Amino acid sequence: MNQVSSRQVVLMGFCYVFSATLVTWPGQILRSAKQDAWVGVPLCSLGVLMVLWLTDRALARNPGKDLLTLFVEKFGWLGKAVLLLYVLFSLVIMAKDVRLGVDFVSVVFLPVTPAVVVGALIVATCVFMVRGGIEVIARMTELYLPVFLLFSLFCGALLIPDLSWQYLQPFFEYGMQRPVIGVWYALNAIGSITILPLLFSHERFSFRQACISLAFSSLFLEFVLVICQLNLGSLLAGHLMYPAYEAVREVRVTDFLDRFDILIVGIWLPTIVIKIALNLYFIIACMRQVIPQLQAAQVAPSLGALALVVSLWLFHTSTEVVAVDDLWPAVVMALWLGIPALGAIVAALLTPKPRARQPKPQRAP
Amino acid sequence: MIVNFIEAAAFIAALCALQWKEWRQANRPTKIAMVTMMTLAAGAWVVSNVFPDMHTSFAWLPKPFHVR
Repeated sequence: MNQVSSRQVVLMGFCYVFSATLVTWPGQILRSAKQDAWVGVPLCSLGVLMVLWLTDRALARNPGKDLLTLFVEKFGWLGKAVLLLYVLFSLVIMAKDVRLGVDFVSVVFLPVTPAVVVGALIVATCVFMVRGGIEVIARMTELYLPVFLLFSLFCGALLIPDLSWQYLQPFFEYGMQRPVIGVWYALNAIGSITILPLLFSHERFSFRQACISLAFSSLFLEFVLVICQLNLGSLLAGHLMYPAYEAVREVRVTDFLDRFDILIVGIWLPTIVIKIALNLYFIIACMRQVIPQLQAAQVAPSLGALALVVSLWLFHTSTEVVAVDDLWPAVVMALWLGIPALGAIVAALLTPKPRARQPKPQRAP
Repeated sequence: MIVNFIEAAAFIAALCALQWKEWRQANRPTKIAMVTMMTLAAGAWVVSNVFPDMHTSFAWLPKPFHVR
């Protein structure tokens, strides 16, 4: 198996949470949680942090093993059944991301190119990345994510003169109702960070790295959310499909760069592709735990083709993805938080504690 | 409908042609997985193109919150 560094793992977790989420998520959370949406992200992060701590304890007791391996080792056929469930739902996640990516490209770059052509190009890129192994995905993340983050900060800074702080008020108009709705939708984005302990062992991924990845992804999500809210207002942003993109379109850097948004989307799109590739890698990792003889490189193209067809068949338009996303946090709670937390607790209980080092026998005087 | 079938057949043929080298290198469990996924992909493609109305818009999914 290819090796990745801890820093690359942190960046991959960050990319998995941050990149594709930005397409429709800000509009969805602002539509329902209105001006109190910003409360959801930090509250949700605290809950996810607890799950990450639990999984870290389990991984620390079982060095060299990731959670997927632990599921199969400790729970046998039940663990394999759970992994098949992960395969099924990850395929839906991948289908959602491909559909959103295709729609986004069609809207911004290629309005007359057929969706299947755009989708095939995205999926083919992902398949080649997965065939290269996790190292290729990690290196692409290292290459594109920092640039995208820099551009996000740059755009946010350029939008500061256009921000209206009254869009944050009135605070807690209906008590805790809207913040709770914010937590529900924030789960959609932040909950999926538990893919890291599922894929990587304790040698590559400790609790410290989990905290860094979670903190940065939450911070940037909050940053983009607040910028969208203060720039467009929750009422307008809630009615837009791509509020983050609309906010970026507000940026004008001289007359020469009046289509500055194309540059941003050109850097944003590879990070979405990286997320889809990581999802494809995760599905194959789950399948290999169930059938160890499976050859990842050979299976990747057919799985990619299946994901593309499923994405175009299941979601005819990207608004259907939004309808599914309204209920998706329930799946996130079960699949990305509940099962890893429960599995980690039971796996930790089933693993004997490492023995304390025996004291050296005292020499007789 | 004929165009849809031709499209579907071309899609499947292209996939098979692309995977021919992989197919020859694959072991038995991998071949079974590949056949299963290709069949599923081809089936979904044919169904979605030939019967475009066999599709849900997910509008029946309940909204979790009443937004006010």
